[in-house]
Amino acid sequence: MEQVYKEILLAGETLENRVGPCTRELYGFARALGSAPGRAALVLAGQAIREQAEKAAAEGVDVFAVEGEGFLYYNPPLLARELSRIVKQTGAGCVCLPHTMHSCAAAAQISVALGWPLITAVETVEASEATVRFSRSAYNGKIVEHIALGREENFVCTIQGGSFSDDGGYASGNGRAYCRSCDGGTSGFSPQGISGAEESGVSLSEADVIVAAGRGIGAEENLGIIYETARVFPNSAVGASRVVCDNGWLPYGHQVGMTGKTVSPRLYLACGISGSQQHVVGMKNSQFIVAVNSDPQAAIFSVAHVCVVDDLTLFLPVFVAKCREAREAG
Amino acid sequence: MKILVCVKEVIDPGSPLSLGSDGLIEHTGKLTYRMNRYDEFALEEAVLIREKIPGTVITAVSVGPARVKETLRKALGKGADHACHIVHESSLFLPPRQTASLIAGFAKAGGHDLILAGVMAEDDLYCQVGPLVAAMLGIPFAVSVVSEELDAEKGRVCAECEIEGGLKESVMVTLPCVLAVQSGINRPRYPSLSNTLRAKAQEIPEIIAHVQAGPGYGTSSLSYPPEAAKGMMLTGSRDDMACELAAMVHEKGLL
Repeated sequence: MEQVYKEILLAGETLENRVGPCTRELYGFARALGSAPGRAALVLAGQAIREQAEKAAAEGVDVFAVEGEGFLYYNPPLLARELSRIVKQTGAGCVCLPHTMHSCAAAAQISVALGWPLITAVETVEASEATVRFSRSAYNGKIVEHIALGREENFVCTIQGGSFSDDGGYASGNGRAYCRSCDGGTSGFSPQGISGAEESGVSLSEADVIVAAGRGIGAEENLGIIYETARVFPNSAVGASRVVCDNGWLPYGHQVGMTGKTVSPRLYLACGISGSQQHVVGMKNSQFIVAVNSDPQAAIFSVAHVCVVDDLTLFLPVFVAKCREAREAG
Repeated sequence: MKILVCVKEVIDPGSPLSLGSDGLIEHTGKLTYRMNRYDEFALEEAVLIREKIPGTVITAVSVGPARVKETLRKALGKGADHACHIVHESSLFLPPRQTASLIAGFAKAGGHDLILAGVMAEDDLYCQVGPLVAAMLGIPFAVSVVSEELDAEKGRVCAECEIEGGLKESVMVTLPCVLAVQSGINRPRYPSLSNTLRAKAQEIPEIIAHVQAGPGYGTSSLSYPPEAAKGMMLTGSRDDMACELAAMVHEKGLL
């Protein structure tokens, strides 16, 4: 194969030969880094991914496609092995993947294999002459961590969903797809199949209003207030953060966030939700966000349009009464 | 079966956080600490395996300053047989790569069949230590595990791994391996009284960490999120705030 030099590899995620939507955000990252489209390449690994690779190349970016039986489902060790090979082949100094559990695991392996630093869940990137600066959220979004690397240092990173723009062009004019196949898998790990989400009977996506409960509701008994608040609105549903579901207070069908549903209702009323990135990526596109939390430092307040610092068990009953009054008054 | 469980001590999310003039989290008396929630699930999974496979020995390991011993005692209280403290006194940022390398160094000699860790730490949300330890030891791993079935005779684990958006992938992993456990895989138990009493007296061996701030880790600093990003803060009495909010949602035609 002819030698192709690249600065940056963008590893798209594929499942059952479908390319995940986060691929476009990888372009957004490359743009933010100031990497010219011609110097970046998209990497797609799948069982039969040639067609998808050619489609992406037709949009104007070079694509390295790797086909193998082991890539029908997510396969982090195999992806890491193939990405490391493409790094050596192209001389790339940066590998960027989406911040999903599986891509993140592959990123860790690449980082060890190549001896490169690894920065996960990146939200912004800024390159200057001397440094590349990354920022990411920590402590439930209450603190921002800044990491700086030397401009010449190689690195592996994963990008937090929703942090980089997924529209806007990223084309060098004429992209090419370089396809090859790879053998079997890696020893010790084999994906067996995918099973679907269980039917929950909770229609979060159709609701105009979602009243969501977080760790801050304090106890399962307080779900009553959440449901009562939801009932004030004609087309509403009850959502939850992961902790509430982990505690067994509500089934996982109610979960909003990275590992749950992504919603954008007309009103999202976040009750006792701290606002960790895990949750925020699933609800930040809601039209009107109101947060009620007793912790004035809660990160949800930077996402909310309207903020109420109060004990939700005391505030919500008053709010419910005021809503009824407002409706009756017309 | 020998199981190693990696536990991290984190600042309780309810604690008030502040940054010192050095740009680091101030570890004042106001902070409370506890075991990373995801690691509680990992530890409970180890205890459940021991219930099924008698003779299983569970060791909990943690990297950090002296106060980390309390979290290790909690791990003993929740059912670990042994604990080991890798002492790292520096208050400076410890990159997950170094934490993983210290744990991998400890695990190398241990002959563990299974290494369990939480899928992430709830403070820094890096999601790295589990897969990094596996990569450093050159053993397979699975991440975001929401159920597992260990077949000791065949030397393998069938695991279900959660995928973003609600799907699950089933995977087969051979022992020895690392499983990074997702929250919700089980219901972590509270420490038992007898275990807690035992934990008080039990010796926790220390290993002194030798960490070099070598190249390739970058520099890290912390700040508060930009203040300008905050939404409109309602003020006044509870009644005033409720009234104002009710008027807003009414105006938007949501009632």
